[in-house]
Amino acid sequence: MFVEFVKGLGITLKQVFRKPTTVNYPEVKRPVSARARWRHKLLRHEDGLERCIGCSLCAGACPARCIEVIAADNTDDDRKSPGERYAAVYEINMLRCIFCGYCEDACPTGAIVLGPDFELADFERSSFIYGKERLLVDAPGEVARVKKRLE
Amino acid sequence: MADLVTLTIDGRTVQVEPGTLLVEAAAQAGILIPVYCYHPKLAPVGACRMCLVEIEGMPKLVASCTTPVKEGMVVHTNNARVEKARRGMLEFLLVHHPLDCPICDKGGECPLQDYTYKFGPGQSRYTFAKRRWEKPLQIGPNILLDRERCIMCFRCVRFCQEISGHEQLGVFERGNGQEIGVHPDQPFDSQFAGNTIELCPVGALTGAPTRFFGRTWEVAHSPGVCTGCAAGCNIRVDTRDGSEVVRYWSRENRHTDDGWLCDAGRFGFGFVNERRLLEPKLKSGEELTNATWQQALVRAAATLSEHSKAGTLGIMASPAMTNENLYAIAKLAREALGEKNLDHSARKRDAALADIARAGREAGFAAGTLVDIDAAARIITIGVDLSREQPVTELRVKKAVRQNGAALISVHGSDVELDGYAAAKVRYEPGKAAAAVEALAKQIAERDEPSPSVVVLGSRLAETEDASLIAALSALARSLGEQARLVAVLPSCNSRGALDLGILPAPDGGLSGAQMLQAARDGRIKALFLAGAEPLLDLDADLVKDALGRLEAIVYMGWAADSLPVSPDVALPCLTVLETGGTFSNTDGRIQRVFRAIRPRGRAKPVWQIAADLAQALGNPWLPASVEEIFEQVTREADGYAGVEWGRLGVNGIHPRALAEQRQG
Repeated sequence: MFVEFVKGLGITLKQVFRKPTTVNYPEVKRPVSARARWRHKLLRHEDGLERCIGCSLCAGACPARCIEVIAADNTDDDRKSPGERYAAVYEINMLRCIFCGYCEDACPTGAIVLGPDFELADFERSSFIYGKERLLVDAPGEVARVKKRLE
Repeated sequence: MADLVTLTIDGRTVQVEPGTLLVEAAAQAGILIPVYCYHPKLAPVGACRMCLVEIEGMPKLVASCTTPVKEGMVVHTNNARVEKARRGMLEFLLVHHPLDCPICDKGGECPLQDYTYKFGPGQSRYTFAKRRWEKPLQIGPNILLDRERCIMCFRCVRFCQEISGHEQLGVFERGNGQEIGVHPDQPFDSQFAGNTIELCPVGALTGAPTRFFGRTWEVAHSPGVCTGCAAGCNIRVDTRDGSEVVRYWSRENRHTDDGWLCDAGRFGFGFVNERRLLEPKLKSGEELTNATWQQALVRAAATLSEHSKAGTLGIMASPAMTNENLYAIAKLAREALGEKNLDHSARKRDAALADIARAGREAGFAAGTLVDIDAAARIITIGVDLSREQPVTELRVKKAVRQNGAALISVHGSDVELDGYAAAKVRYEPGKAAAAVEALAKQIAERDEPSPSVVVLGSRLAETEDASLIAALSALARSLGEQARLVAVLPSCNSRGALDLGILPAPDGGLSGAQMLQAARDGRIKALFLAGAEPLLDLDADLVKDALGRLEAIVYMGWAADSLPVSPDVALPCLTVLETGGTFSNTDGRIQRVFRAIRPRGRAKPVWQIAADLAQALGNPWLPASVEEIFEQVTREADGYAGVEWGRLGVNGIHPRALAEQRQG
C-alpha cells in the first residue's frame, strides 16, 4: 500500500520538475506546421496582377458554401488580372469556412492559398466576411512566403 | 404504321418511320450519340464528325446525322472502332480550343466539356503553339464571338439562313484559318441573334448583356413567360441567390414560341433588377419622401375616394400585369370605388375595334391560335408588322412559307420585313385599310379556291381604322370560306387578359384612356390612379407630361421608379411577376403560369395585396390569401376561363378553348 503511494507521488514529482508542454499564449506562440491550412490569401502574379480570374470554381468546390465570387470584365485601361475576367467581388465567410482547402485544390490559377495565420477572432459577425481588400496580398513578394508550404 | 423501318442499334431492335436519321432513331431507342453540328430544328450538314457510327457492311464509319435508316441496318455506336474515332475527333476539335473553361460562360453546360469527359482522350498529342485570335469580338449589339473556342459546327450560320432569314453570319477562309464572322460594316444585329447563343455547342457565341452572369451551376431555374409582347414565349428564368435574375433561356412550347426567343425578350429582364421602386413614397413639397405603408395607403385611399365621388378620377391598369393583379384592380375600381373610367391603354382606339380579336369574330372568323399558322395554306397579315410587334410569331410565319409553301399576303400601311416572303403585298393609306381588305376579299373570291387560311390581324388597326373594317373583314371571311381562322396580335403581354377581365371603360359613359388624358387637359379629370406606367408608353411624351402636370393628384403603383414624366403624389411599390408568380393570357388566349423565381425586394408588395388593402381602407373589405385563390375567382367570373384549374396549368399553360373541346369529345 505504502509502496504504491510513493510510486504515484514519484510520478507527480517527476512531472513537477519537467519543462511544461503548454506555452504562455498569446505572449509565446508555438510554430505552426508548414502545411497548416488557416486564413486564406489571394495571391498575385510576379508582375503584380491578380491571379484570381473570378471563375467561381472555389465556390463550386466549397462544401460549406462560404465563398461568393462575382466576376467582371477586364479592360486594358483597368487591368486587374491577365485575360478577360477578374473577380469584382470575392468574399469568404470565415464563420462558415471549415478550412478544408478544397478551394485551393479547385483553383486553376493557384490564386487562393490557405496560410498559417490562425488568429481570426473578432467581435462582430460582419467582420468575419473577408473581402478582397483583406484576402488579396499586397506585394508579389508575399507569394513566396505563403507558397513555401506548397513546395 | 405498317411501313415502319426495322433496324438494330447496339443489339436493340428499333422501329422508326422511314426517312428518320440514324441519330434520331438512336435517340428514340435511348442510345446517346454525341453530336455538335446536328440540331433537330436545322438541316443536317455532317460537319463535326462527332456522330460517327459503324454500319455493318459499310467499309468506313458514317455520320449518323446525315444517314437515313434502312430496313435491316445493323448499327454499332459504341464499339472499339467508334470509340477510337470519337477520341480522335475530340482530339482534333480541341487542337486549337483554348480550354479556358474557368472563364467561359458556357462552362458547366457545354457539350464539348461533357463529351470530352465522356468520350475524349485525357491528353492531346499536339505540341505546337495553339492558334490565337483576338477575343472576344463584339460582332453585334448582343453577341460576343470567341473564334478560338469555335468548333465549326455552323449551327449559328444555319440558323441565320434557315430560321431567321437574316443572313449576317458567314464562314470565312478555309482549313486552319477557317472562322465564323460577320461581313465588313454589317453587325450581327438580327433581332433573333440571341438564339445562336443557345445553339452554339461551345462558348464561341455568348451574350454581351449577360456576360459573366455567374457560373451555370450557380443559377437556379424556374419556368416563366416572357413579358416582352403578347406572344407569351415560354422562358426559363435563371436566378442567382434567389435574389437576382441573371438570364432568360428559351423553354420550348410549340403553342407559343417553338423554342425561339427574340433579343428584346431574351435580354428584357432589367425591369426586375434595375430602377425599382422599393419604398412607399409620398410627395411633400416637390420631393418624394419615404413613408410607411400605412401613411401611403391612407393618403391613396383618401385621394381615390374623394375624386371618385366627385367624378374626377380616372384609373389605368397596365396590360403587363398578371390576370390576378388586373382582377384585383378591376375589383377595387368597380366594387370599392364604383368607378366607370377604367382602361388599360391610353392610345386612341375605335370603340368597336378596341378588342380586335372580338371584331374579327364578329366578322365571322373562327378564333385561331398561333399553331394554326403552321398548318395554313394561306396566311394574310393585316396591319401588323410582326418583326416589331411579335417577332417570334414572324419566325413561325417564315417557317410556314419556307417549309409548307404557305402563300403569304402582306397587307400593311408601309413596307414590312415579311414582304420578302409574301406571294402578294397590298399597301393602304392609314385609315383606309377597310377598302384594301375589301378589294382583297373580292379578288380572293373571284380567283382562289378556298384553302385553310389564317388571318393575322394587328391591334394597331384599332388606332387608325373605324368600324367599317368589320364589314370588310366579314367580306374577307366569306371569301376565305369556313376554314378561315383569325389570330389577333395584341400590343402587350397581357392585353388579352386585360380585355377578358374587362379592364375597359364602362359602356354607360366611362372614359377610355385616351379620353381620360384629354379630360385631364380640359380639367374634367383631376386625379389619375395609374397601376403601372405601361398604358402611357409609346405616346407623345410632351402631351402626356402636359396632361399629368395639370392633375391635382396622381396615385401611382408599379415596380419601376421614375417611369412617369411627372412625379406622383403617392407611389406604392409593387412586386414584379417574377417575385409573386401569376398567370398571363397570351395573344390567342392561352393561359400560362409564371412561377415565383426570386425573393421579394425591398418593402414592395404584390399588386393584388395593395388593391385589397386599398379596398379595405375604402370600407369594402376583400381578403384574398394568395395568387392561386384569386385565379380561381378569375376562372369563375371571366368569360371563357371556366374550367381552367390552377393545378393543371403546369409549365406550358392551357388554352381554355382546347380544354373545352377536349371535354366535349
